[in-house]
Amino acid sequence: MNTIQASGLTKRVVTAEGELVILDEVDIALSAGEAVAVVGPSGSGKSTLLALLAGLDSASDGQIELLGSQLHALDEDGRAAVRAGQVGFVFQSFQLLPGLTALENVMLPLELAGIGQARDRAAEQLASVGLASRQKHLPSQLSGGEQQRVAVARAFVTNPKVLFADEPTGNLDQNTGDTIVELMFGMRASLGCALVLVTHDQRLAARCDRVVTMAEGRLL
Amino acid sequence: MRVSEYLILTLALVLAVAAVTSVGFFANRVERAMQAQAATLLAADAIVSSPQQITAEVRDTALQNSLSITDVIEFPSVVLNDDGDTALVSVKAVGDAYPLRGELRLSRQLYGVDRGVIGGPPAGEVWIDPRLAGVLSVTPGDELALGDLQVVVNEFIAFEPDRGGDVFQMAPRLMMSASDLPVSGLLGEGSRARYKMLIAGESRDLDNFAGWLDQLGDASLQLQNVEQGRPRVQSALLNVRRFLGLAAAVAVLLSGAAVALAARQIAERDMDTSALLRAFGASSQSVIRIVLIRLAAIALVASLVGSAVGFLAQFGLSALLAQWFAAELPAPSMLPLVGGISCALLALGGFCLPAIAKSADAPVVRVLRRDLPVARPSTWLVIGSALMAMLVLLTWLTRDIKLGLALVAGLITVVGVLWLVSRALVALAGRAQAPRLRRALEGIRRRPNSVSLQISAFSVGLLALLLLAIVRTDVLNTWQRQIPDNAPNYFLVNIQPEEVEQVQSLLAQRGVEGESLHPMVRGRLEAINDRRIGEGGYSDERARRMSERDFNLSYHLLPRDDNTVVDGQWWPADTTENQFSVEQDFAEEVGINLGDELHFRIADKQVSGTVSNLREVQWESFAVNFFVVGTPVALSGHPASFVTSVFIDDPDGVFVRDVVSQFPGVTVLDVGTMLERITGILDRAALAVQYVFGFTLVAGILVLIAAVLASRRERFQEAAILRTLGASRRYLAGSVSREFILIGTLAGLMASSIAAVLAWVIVERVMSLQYEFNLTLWIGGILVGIAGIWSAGTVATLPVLRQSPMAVIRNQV
Repeated sequence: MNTIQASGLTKRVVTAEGELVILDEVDIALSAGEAVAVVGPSGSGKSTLLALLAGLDSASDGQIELLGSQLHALDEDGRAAVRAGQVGFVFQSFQLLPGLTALENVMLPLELAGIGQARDRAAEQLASVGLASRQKHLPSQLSGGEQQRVAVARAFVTNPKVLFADEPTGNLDQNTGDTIVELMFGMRASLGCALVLVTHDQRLAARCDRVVTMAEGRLL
Repeated sequence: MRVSEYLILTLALVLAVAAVTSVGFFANRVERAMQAQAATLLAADAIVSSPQQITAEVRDTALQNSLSITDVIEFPSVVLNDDGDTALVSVKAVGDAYPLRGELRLSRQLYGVDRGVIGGPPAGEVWIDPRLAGVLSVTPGDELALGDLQVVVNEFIAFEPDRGGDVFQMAPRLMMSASDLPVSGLLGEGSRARYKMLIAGESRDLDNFAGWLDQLGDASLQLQNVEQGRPRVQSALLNVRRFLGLAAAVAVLLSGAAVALAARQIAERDMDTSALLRAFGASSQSVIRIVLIRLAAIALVASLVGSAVGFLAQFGLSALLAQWFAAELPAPSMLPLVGGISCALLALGGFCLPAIAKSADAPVVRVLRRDLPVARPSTWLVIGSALMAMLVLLTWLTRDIKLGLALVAGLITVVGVLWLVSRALVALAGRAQAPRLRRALEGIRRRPNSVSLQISAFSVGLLALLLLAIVRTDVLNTWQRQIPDNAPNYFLVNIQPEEVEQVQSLLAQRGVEGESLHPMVRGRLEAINDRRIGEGGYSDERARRMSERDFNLSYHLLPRDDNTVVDGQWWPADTTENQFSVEQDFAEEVGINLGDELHFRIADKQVSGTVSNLREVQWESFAVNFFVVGTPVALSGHPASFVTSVFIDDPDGVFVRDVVSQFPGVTVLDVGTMLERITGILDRAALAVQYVFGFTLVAGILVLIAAVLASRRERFQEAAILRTLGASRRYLAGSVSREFILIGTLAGLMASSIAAVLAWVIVERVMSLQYEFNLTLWIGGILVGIAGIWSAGTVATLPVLRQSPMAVIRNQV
């Protein structure tokens, strides 16, 4: 069974100038543990594809199956329930909760999925990204690289079956970005989870099992 | 998000102005209603009085100014009945339109049921004080000789709106028609009379007339209005204005806080734009100009919309309150509208100008480094600017800079204390370990200042409402409950020395024996030691009035059981010295100490003596008591009348009629009626203030919403991230609910507890009564806190619950 199976995926939005097709009849599938990089120019629909595959948004047309659940048939709460504990995210702008400490940010997905011993597991995960001494720091007290490491720890703490990463090194310098990439790919490899990686970085894309290119809402 | 930031600012300003104007309009109406009621104490809005007849010029000018006028002429005279008995009376000749404000109450029978009437007696008829009926044994239909006239007594006067004065001193009233005066022969040249022209009308017309009279410069003409006419009315109105002003001021402060919160969001939002404009070469002045123009436009729209909302809101609220007022509330003046617009402009100037100026001066490098911390103006500058705005607003509101300053100081103290308590509660809550409330506690811990502001803003109104509710119910009830069942219900005053034995015997017939009749001597305190009264000043107005007026002295040899000597010694039974015993609170207020030499003027004699002791008096016992008691040797040689208080069960009024018929000069005062009137006035005053504080509670809710709206960006971000990580809408709603329930609990707990402590202070310390903690009201306060904050917070965060996780991908949060 594929981890992700999408067919005829279409996303249309209504603008002042009329209807705009952002994603046009896209078919894509990921097998368990497979890493797929989505590349393409800005505005080609990469992030929209990622959002639909992760159930963050609903498609105008088409079918998406994520981890055996028919996302297109679920409402937003249903899709959230599918994500809880099974899906990890790493974003370009880190997206940590500013009021929570590094440890609390990592605990969050465990709590939402109702997984026990959240504090211990989160502490362990933070230690694995080299931030054992920064548990009680707020995001604002961490550097960009450290914040992204917290985000990586948060993404992997539930042992997800699939990880979605949207330009994970976009806000980082090359050295820091490289460190994050090593960390992310290392953890993915040890867990064997699938990866959907949206990136402009060809070097990064090359580390995935497969690269798909998008242009004007279509997969080339 | 961009649009809603401006929308939130505009909305906050609209809400702030609406709060101010609705409070302003309503307070204005209540104040005008109270002023109209207070005017009934003059029976007019103003009075022109003169020792001579009021000239036609003065009358015509009043009429030209659209004012209603009527005459009142007062003078002493003597009347005779058919048997030839005579009595000194205080004649009041009134015009047909008397009274112009309030109503005269008459009864056909002595102490019978009374009814209100407008207009004086018809020609040939007189209405008299029941005391005069006793003196001259007249009943309705009897004739009296009044000067050259034979007049018919048709009614007894139960209540005369502008009587005022001192019931102990006045000769009985006889009211006649002013049209009878010329033919009565009562007033000739050189007669002692006081001519009054009662005036009523719109305040603008009154002001015009007052201006004209002032220019006329006739020293014999005195204009008295409600505020300057009578010290007691003046003092009551001033207190009303202070209370309502304070309530409005709290609303202004809270509205200002709401405006400041919203304005800060705009300022921070503008920081990036201004950095960009300056990067392109714009000067900081031109950037500030752009920001100011935009804000001014928002202020203008918001102040107009807010004023309109405030204006409409007060109609509904006034309608709700109509039953609380005996008279219909008058229409508001447009003055609060000016206040609303000024408030919007001042709020922008005072509460957000420093933030705006700072945003326009943002470092240009922000175009490259958006992660740079937001530049905020100095806290002192923000506070100073807000305080200045408050002072201007309050001075405008109260028309008194000293009062404005005092109110600002008072508000700083109250809000400061509430803020500190809130901050302490938030700190305590932040440390609490409750797994089920973890996210709610995080919300509080993360935004301690915002949460403290929400708690203190909401608590101000709630605290005031609870305290007034306690005063209206518990305190008044406690007071009435603790009055003994057999406390005196009648005061008998003006008993002449030769009537003492007969009065005692009458009382004995009614089962009242051994009741003391206390001698009462009127005197004026002239000096304490070498210091003459009026020199050196008094710390408060009441002390000055008490020391300068004539008051009642008494004398007795032995100490009374119900008075306790707290300092010094009661005089020996064989004393031959002039000594005084002074009530301790009075002594403190007027500045009298043990051993001081007091100098009184009694009639045309001076009486001096030493203060040998200070007494504690239980005024609430309703027994006759005196501020100053002397030794018999000091006071017994002077003219005195006697007074006593008794408890007599007299539902049919037989006792009163017996006293009046046997002792025509004795005045009987019904304590029950007096108490009813006092508690009625207190209750209505408390309700009026409570109502205005209700607006403050609404203003507190507005601040709460503004604070929540100000944190909405953060909340949107949190919601989007949580949704991405798998949180359901129910989870988000539960987190938000628990957070606001917790904040509401803290606010309710604080308001209820502080109100209970203040009530304890009022009851135990001020009123010296026994305080009973009201658990129902305490719990009720907490529940109101929870309900208010939960509902306001939930409404304000509803859009957050609908937040799509897509915002995380789009980086739109």
